[in-house]
Amino acid sequence: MSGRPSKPRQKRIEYPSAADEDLVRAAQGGDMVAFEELVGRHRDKVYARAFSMMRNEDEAIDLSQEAWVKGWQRLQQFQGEASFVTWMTRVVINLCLDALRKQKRLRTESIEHMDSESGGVERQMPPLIINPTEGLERQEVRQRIDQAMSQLSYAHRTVLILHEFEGLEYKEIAKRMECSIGTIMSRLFYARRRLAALLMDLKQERPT
Amino acid sequence: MGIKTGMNRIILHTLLCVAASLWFLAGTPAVSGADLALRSQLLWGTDQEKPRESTYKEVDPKVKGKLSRIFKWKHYFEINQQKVTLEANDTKRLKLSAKCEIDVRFLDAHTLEIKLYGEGKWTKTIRQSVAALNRGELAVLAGDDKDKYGDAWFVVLSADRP
Amino acid sequence: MNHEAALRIQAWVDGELPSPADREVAAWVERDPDAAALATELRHARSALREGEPEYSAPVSREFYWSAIERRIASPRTPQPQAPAAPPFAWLARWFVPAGILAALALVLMLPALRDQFAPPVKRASEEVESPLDDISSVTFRSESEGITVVWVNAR
Repeated sequence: MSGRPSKPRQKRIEYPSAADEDLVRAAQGGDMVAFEELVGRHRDKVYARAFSMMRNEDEAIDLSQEAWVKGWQRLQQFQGEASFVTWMTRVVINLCLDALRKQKRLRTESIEHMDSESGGVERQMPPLIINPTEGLERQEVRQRIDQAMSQLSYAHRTVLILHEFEGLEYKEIAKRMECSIGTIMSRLFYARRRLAALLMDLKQERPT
Repeated sequence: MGIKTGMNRIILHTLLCVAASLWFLAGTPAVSGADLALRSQLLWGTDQEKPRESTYKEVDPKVKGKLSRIFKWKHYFEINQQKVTLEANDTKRLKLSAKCEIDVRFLDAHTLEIKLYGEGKWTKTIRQSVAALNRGELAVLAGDDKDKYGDAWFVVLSADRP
Repeated sequence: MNHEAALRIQAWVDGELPSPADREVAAWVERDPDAAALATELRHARSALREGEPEYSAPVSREFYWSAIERRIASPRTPQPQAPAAPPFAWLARWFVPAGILAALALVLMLPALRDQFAPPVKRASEEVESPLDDISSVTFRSESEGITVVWVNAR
């Protein structure tokens, strides 16, 4: 397939109402208009994943746009094994992980970061058996989770995103984050307990 | 060898020497004249309203706030507090109670080493970033109280500020 | 409850434990209130996250967002997509790949589990902490928001 955008095929596609599969097929044939429609349709989802990981608007825009460019370059490799937006989400996740790794390399390694990155972290607090989001409206839950997630470290936030939002198994997360399954389990454990504590704090600060 | 090639080679060698020196210096602990003023506290975490000894007092609100947001206990009483100033490479032993002592050693400009002794036995060594302490962070060693089930002890180290 | 036990409960909650380990943990959670409480907390956190995933929208217009992508795609520096080369003897693969997959599956099903599913945890930076006594263990954790590092000393 030539990389240059070509004219749409003769078969007329109603872009706004076409199914993703049809748009992907057309884009694989070089139809840039079809690809633009896919971008328009799913840009928020791809951006949202980038923002949830990077917590910075500019970086998220940049990385999500880069993901779309990569998506265009690799479109032939998409065989429909997952939905197109899931495939694109994986692309942006990988870019974000690369970016986070690069940032970590640039940062001077310090003792205060070591423990939070190592596998053996634990919260010595009794389990919170009260559901911290019970009785809340969905929007309120989202806001509180957003606030709580922003207080986690990148490593802990990432493992939560990959496990809870992307539904990846421990092994897959370990592979993507380039660490052991044990480390992933510990990070996930710490992140969940930390999140529970933060949500409980918010519940106490702002009771419904 | 042309003048230009020769100059390039001199510049390259100079840059390499500078880079090597910087690398070496970065790895070498900085010699600093700054002393480290430390505060160490031995605390008791409990749900009891009153301390078992009248000499124990409620820990300061800042430390209490940090601990209570992490741990479950309602009260944190200070059993003992000691302040010390360490010079570079200095080691001091602090006796916080009959059963609890610590050695604090100002290893280098970046690192404080703390050795915990429980009932005379060396129990644990940790190292804490000096920069983190100077930012107001706490280094804490803690464990279950052997004498009372459900309570805990804490050794809290912080930078001593006026 | 030690850290490893807590992680087993988490793995059970996440459906990552193979049998019979999952049945063992299920029985433990049923009889042990602390284990049950931890499982409850982990479930609450999990369901809160799944129900409450925050939604974000790109803070720029569709046109602006697309224009940057279009420019990058059209840039001469951006490698252009190429169709993946057809594998040699692709016609053979059509017949032998499914047979190969079946053979591999049969092999996997016949072999017993050889390896523990969970790799041992990563070693902490050991120069930071020493434990000279055999009957003492420790767990280190850190709260970024509180600016506090805790080493919890356990007597075995």
